[in-house]
Amino acid sequence: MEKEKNKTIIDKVWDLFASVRLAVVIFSIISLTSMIGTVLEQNAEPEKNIDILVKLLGVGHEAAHSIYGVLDSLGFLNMYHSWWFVTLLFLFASNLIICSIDRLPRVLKLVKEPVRPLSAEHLEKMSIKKTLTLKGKTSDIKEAVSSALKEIGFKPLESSDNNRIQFYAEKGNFTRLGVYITHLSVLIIFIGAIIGIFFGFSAFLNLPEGSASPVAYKDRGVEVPLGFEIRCDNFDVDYYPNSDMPRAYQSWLTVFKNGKEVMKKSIVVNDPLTYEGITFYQSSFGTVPDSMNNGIFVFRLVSKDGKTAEINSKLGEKFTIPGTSVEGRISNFSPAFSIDQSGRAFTYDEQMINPAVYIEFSESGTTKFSGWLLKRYPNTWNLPDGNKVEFLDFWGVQYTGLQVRKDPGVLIVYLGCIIMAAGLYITFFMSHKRIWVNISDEKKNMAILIGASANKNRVAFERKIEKFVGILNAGQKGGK
Amino acid sequence: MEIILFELALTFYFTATIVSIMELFKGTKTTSKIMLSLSIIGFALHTSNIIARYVISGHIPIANLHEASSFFSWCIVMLFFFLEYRYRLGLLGSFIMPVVFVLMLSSSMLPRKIEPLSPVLQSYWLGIHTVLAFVGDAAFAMAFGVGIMYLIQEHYVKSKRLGGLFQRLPSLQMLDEVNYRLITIGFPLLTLAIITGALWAESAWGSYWRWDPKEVWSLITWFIYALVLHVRLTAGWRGKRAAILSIIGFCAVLFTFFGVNLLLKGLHSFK
Repeated sequence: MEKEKNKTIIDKVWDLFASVRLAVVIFSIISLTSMIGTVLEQNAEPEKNIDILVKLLGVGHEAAHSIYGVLDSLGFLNMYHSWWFVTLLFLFASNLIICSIDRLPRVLKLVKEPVRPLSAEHLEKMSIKKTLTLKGKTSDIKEAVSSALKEIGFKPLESSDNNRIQFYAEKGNFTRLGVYITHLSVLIIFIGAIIGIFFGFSAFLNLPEGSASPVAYKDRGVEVPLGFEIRCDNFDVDYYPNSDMPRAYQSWLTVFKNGKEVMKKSIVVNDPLTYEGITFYQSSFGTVPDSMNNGIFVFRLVSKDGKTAEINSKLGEKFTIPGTSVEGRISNFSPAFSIDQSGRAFTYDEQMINPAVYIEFSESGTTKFSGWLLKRYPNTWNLPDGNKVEFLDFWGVQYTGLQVRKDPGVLIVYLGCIIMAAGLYITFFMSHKRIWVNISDEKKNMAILIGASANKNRVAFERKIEKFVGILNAGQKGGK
Repeated sequence: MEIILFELALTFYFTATIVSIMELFKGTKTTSKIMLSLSIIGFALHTSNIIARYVISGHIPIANLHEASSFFSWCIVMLFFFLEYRYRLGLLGSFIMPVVFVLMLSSSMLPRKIEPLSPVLQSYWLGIHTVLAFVGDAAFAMAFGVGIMYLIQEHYVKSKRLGGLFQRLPSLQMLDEVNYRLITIGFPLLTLAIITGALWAESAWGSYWRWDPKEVWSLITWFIYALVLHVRLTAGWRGKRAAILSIIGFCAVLFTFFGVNLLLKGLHSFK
């Protein structure tokens, strides 16, 4: 009691931050507030969350509106970046640092302390205890014990007094630091995250096919200069057969630095492009509004007798199949083509889900035939007269949606993750094991007393001791 | 074909569950053997169902909620066999098979169509991340079952009714030890699942952490189990308190799995 009174405020604060009690409180508060953050949609339109409140609390629209106001002023609608949540994370980090600093010196002292020989009375009280008797000369038995200890992975030390010899050894001494390694890893992840927040950015860029940009855009349209230009050469979506589910979407990108081409790469989801620390992720795609009339059709024309030509053409323009007088006129286009029950063609989406082109063919002025050619269905490319129009691309009408990120802290975060995995492994799957083996001369026999302890997973260690005893016994039989 | 395998597995798990519950009231060595055999047959059928789906779709069958829930139960059954072999905890099946059956039943009620993978899911992380998560979750499910056994056993010890179930349930010390062991397996696996998820998110979405509901709920779960471990090692919260916490933790696991997918919006929705 007297001691408590003499403590300064600083001591008290230190003790508070060194306590697991505070950790429990912080864990709980972070968890509970985080739950609220998952129910309310973060950074969303106010109406969405007011609807959620109406449904969840069963209150009227008016009441939900005022609750929304309160939640908004408390930062719950961008909760994970609000001042108080960030403060909680900092408290968590401080708690972690101070509690580790507070305990570490003691643990380090323990870890540095080498294992010492113990008296027989001590060994009798150990959690793992075994006795056996062996026959043979002292020197042989000593040899056998020492080599058996090595066999189960220990490096034994020896001490002797009177007629008693003791081998003793320990293993996994450092494993008691596992907890602190894990704590350290959390801090490293925090540091990486902070570096990312202060020295990195997260932005977005919708880049139409054929255009280039020297900037990306953060929230609310704030420009971020890239320091180079990025151009989208082409963009393409590959769909699963007979389905409108994209199998893959791909952008062909080129990087220009000071007007010179410095990098070219095609990116897909899960495989981004990185240049000068800035990474471009394939994130979404869409159709540029009002661009259909300027889009360029890329066709490969194959005549009956195998002559080919690749052409670019626009809506309303004409082309001729090579080596023939067959002429095609592009008269209509649908980004998402379908046929209704009465056989009429219609467009079911503004996105280029199923691009189709209507071409009217004629030969020396007389109309031959006309029809829809579908990009995703090559069997529609064959014309009745044996010629073929391969619909390769409709270029310049789609944009690729790129997530643009710079995060210099990400490698530090990964390092933290690796250390965390190692720390947890050491903490939960490795243990500090100690063993003492007494050899005492009892007339004809040698009495062996084994005492051992492990701070974790004792059962497994006991099995190891059994093995050790087995080796000694086997040695006896072999010696006879 | 694979649907029949699933239905058969469900049926065997169901009968195993019935037998396991009967075992609580009147159990003999024979009933426990019958229960185990039924589970083993169910597990074999279930395994074939998973392999069949793998062959048909060409990826690990974990891409929709039906498959994920089924795979989750599969992991629990596998871990149950392992524990049965290693520790021989009496009546463990009576507390685990109902969990398995409920998970399989919910799986059976969800759409079973084999869907092609969306571009985000086409990554080797799909297998690594989900398997780590589900084996970890399975360990937490076992800890949940063992925690309930602890509470029941403690009730008998406290009320000094030392007949019947008391005799057949494992000792409090054993239950507490196994519960702790399971959490020390589940926690590192959950950590690895979160880490691999972060690596995947970084390569797919350009951010290792976006405070998406799934991420937040797995973090909440992580905090709960971190708390379980901390209060155990420093404040000596063992036994009853540890058992209760492991039950709360599993509720968080279930919400992270089902609740987030069914109730909350986010990037982890399967489409």
